[in-house]
Amino acid sequence: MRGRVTSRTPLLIVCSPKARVGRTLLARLLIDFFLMDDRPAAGFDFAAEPPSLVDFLPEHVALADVADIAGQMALFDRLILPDRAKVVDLAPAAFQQFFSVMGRIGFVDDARRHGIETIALFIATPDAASQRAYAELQRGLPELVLVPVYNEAVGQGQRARKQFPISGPSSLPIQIPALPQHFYRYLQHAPFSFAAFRGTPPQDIPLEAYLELLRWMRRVFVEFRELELRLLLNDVRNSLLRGAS
Amino acid sequence: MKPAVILVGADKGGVGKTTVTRTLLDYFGAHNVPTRAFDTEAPRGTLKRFHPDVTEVVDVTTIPDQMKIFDTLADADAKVTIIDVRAGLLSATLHALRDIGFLDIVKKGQVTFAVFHILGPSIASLDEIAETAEFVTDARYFLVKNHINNTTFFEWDPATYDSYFHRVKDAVEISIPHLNEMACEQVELASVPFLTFVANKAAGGDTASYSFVLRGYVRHWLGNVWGEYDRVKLTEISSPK
Repeated sequence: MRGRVTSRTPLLIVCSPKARVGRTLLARLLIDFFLMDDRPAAGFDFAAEPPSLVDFLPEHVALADVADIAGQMALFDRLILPDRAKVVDLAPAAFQQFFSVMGRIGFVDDARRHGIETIALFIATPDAASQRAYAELQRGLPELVLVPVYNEAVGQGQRARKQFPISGPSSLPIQIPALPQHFYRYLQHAPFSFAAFRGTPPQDIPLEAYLELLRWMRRVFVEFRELELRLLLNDVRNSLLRGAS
Repeated sequence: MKPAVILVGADKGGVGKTTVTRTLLDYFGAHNVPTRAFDTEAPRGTLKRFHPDVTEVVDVTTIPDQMKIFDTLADADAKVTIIDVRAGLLSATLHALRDIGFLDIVKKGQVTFAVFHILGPSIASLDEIAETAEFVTDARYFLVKNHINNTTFFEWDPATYDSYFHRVKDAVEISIPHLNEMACEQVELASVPFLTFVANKAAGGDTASYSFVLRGYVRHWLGNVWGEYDRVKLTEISSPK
């Protein structure tokens, strides 16, 4: 399936207050998902620890920082442009500050006026800090599309589903299937593009492993497409409601 | 509707008088209240740079300019007159208002009078409260704590704080929150009203290219300032019950 599905330009913020939950891998998959669909995409990397997003996709990713006003301007003044899909790999250390600035400058509503839908992909883990951060985000930025992500590779998140209540039909959870543990080493060599990977089987990966990785990618991308469809349907529903009133 | 006069001043300089005046002009503009302003930073003016269409530069110590302000209150299209009083002239201006009989017509209810006393974080600035209070018995008296420069007002010392801020019975406190320095400077450079900056417009009305982030900070800050004005029911000045 090709072509544009969503009517708005997506801004996807991959986040969690915890490290090592698969955040950067998800951000990489999202960027390549758009690129493979012939849609321009850009990534923003808070460079928590190497290898980070910019190491994997250096041509498409810029470094980001919100610690000072200059960094905030460099980042948010680009995020507000509806020129391409954007993916932010938000490091735990910048989590609070990023969403605090986002709230203070009224980003989400303004972005919507610019034709951008802001979606936080929150990697859910069953610890108290994660649940608290999710609840605060839901309360503090109600205009944000907040989507729980259950990453089977880090597990346990689904067991706490009730702690991550969704706010609407666009916010249905995303499930990232797990790979056999030893497969992840094939994905850790930077730079690495899933798009290139799909086109040309690498020499150093056995054919069976390669095919398994492709199947896994397809399953992940189905989740992304379903998210896009939910957002599109929500847009359609809202425009019908506006028309009826 | 009876005319209203708002005096914005302090005897101390650099406490943000003009900034507060600018927020007031934006506020009344947004509420469709016709407003005019007098900038007493003669001869060049400061406020006029931001709101040239509604601002006139005057020397409030001269009789001709006092006439220009107060003799036109009833006839002016603008029912709210804001006077941005130059540093050091608040006491002198209040004395002049008493001498010309303005405070008497306020007492008779013919004019609504409000004083925005902008305070700095010093005892000298706070001492002005007692001096000013005797002139504002029939006015709405606002003690404006301007945190735009991240200052504090002895909140850490309740005895000192209470001795100043609770000395005048009917005085109402207003807090102007901190505005990010770079955002503040960018609006200064742009020389436009805060609302125009938020709307990304240049002085002539053309679309500008101000930072989205800075505009967001200004919008958020202005919203909080206006929240304070709503809290003290400022629009009642222009349409008293």
